[in-house]
Amino acid sequence: MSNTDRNQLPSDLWQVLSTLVDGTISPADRARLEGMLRSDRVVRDAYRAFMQMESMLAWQLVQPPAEAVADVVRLEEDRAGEDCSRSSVARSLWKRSAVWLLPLVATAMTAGMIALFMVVVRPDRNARPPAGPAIDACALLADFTDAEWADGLRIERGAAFAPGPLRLVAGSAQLRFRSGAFVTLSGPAEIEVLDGNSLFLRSGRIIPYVPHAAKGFTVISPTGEVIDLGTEFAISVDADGQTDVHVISGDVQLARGRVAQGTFLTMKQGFGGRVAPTAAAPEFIDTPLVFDDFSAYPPTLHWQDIDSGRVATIHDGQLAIPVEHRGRGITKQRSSRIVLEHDFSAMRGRRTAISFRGLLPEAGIDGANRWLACVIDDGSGDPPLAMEREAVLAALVSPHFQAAARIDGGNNQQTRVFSRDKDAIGPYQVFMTIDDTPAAHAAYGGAVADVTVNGQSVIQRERIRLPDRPRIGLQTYGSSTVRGRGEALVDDFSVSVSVDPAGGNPASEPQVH
Amino acid sequence: MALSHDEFVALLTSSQRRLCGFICTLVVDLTDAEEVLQETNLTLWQQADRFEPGTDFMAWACRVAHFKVLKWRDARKRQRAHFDDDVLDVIASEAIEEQRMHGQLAAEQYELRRLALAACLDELSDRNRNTLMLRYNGRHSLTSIGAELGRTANAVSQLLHRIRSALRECMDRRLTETAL
Repeated sequence: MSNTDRNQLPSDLWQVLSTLVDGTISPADRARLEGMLRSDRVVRDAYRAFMQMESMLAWQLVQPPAEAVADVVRLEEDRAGEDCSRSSVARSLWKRSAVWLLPLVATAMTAGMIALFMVVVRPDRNARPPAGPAIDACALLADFTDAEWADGLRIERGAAFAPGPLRLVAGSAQLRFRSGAFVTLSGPAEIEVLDGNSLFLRSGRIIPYVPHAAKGFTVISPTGEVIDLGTEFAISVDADGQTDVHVISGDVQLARGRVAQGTFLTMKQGFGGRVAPTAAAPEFIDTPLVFDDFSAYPPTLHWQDIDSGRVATIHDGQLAIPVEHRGRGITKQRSSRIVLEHDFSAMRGRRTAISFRGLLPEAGIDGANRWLACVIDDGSGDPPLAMEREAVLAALVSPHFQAAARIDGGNNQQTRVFSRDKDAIGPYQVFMTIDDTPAAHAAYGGAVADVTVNGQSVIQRERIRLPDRPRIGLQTYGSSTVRGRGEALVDDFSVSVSVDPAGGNPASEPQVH
Repeated sequence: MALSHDEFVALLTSSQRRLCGFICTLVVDLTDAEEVLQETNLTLWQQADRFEPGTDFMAWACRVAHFKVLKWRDARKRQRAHFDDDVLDVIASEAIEEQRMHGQLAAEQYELRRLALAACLDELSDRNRNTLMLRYNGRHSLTSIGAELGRTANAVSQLLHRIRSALRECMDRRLTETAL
């Protein structure tokens, strides 16, 4: 980079960059700099070299704040004798336990400003007698959104949790357990960290994500116990202690009491189960898994923008999908494609209901053709545009043809346009049903679909070719001769796979042990 | 075959400086860059099992960081955005591509530049070094640095520009010598 051809660089570039980082740049210089960066690779290389040096200076000149070091030491002393952290803490904090903390420590040092980078939360010292072998902190606060904790507790990212109760009043928070399991809490929720791979859920709703390494992650509720076999599920406990579980992917075991003691259900992806306070055993249930609040859901694990590899933006509890087009004289098209990462093989042989509310962007993309679609496809290769051939079913809403759906792509494309109410922006309420039950096969010779948009039936009991591994995706699209961007918003998204609409569970699917 | 915990920690800790540098090119402000770095680190942890050994760690980390920058900008309603997304996209993708294609070389060059900078900082006068400390360690505004040094904010801006230029020339000189 040092060999950049200086002759091609504007003479005042370094001066302008200096004012940029010092915050004194004039609007005219900023605009000129942006133009040069946009059009000139040599300027971009110089800019990157400049910013690299800027960041190097920060790292090079920073002196670790004395307080941060002192806190680490104090923490070690404090935690001696604690459950998850007994004995080995002093030695391990900079070694094993530091495994989690090192990046945070490094950053805290660099920032030279975060003195209290770690807080050990121990709301109740007498909660539980120490048990098990000495290990490091049980869990770590990985992230939170608008989190409000009981007793006005302020907990920083990176805070380490010893065993003990924890009450989230509002907002959402993610804990990373020592085992590698990730747990998203939606307030209000009351849990107790038990050890590095289990928790007690007193009330509220949590979504554990359990990578293979953390297989066996256990949630105990007032009525039952859930053991995760390397998967993801949602679990909620109401005021009576009733425990509801929905499996998002993989397998879980659900028991009344403890799994080890008796009857339990093994539930696969798409299934719901319940332990009622009065019931003798867990039972399957048919209520949907509702993604009703995207902010309380770990988006990084699910919604992915296929084009850029980025995950979707979530704000104000809604999933926002960019609608963008780049214009510039000729028509350029651009689509954003966001899919649920998991395949929904559980759809096969069952009845699946999908519903969501969508809102197209009003501002920012005047004159543009734009749409939002929910698409079922086979997940092969690139995700399809809703109107292209891989889709088997698409519910599509657009201001130009207020709602349309296309089924059974390939050689048998069919579109139902049922409204041409121009400039209708929504919101749209979309319901899709895919029926692949034996009953549907008997009556129609295969899977059939129903689609309703804003109360109007668009598709009724029509045959579709359901792929082996159906995937659910949301897509936006924009095309225009002028440049612009906006965001389509989706909320109240829910997917429900019925347990047993036709009577008799398919073999090898949910089984009572 | 996933990396062991220790291997991942080693990669993550050794990439911090450069990752922060990458983020800095996208958000400009150092304190903002460190904030985004924190969030990036957490996500890298969360998704550690998605990293494919044998591919370039920095390139992967930069992609995550790029996304975090966009998210961070959205959260701030782009108030503090210096450049449009398309400019950031091209800067980020060029950096990532360079890292992906020439990861080892980029790492070595970074290290050489860092050593050169350290040597050049030693050559600075006390006054200039003190000015840099106020700016980079203390994160003081130009106005408060000016108050400290008895100069106007404008004069501080000019002074910082001259020090940066001197450092850049010194680094180039040293790197050329190394190359010879």
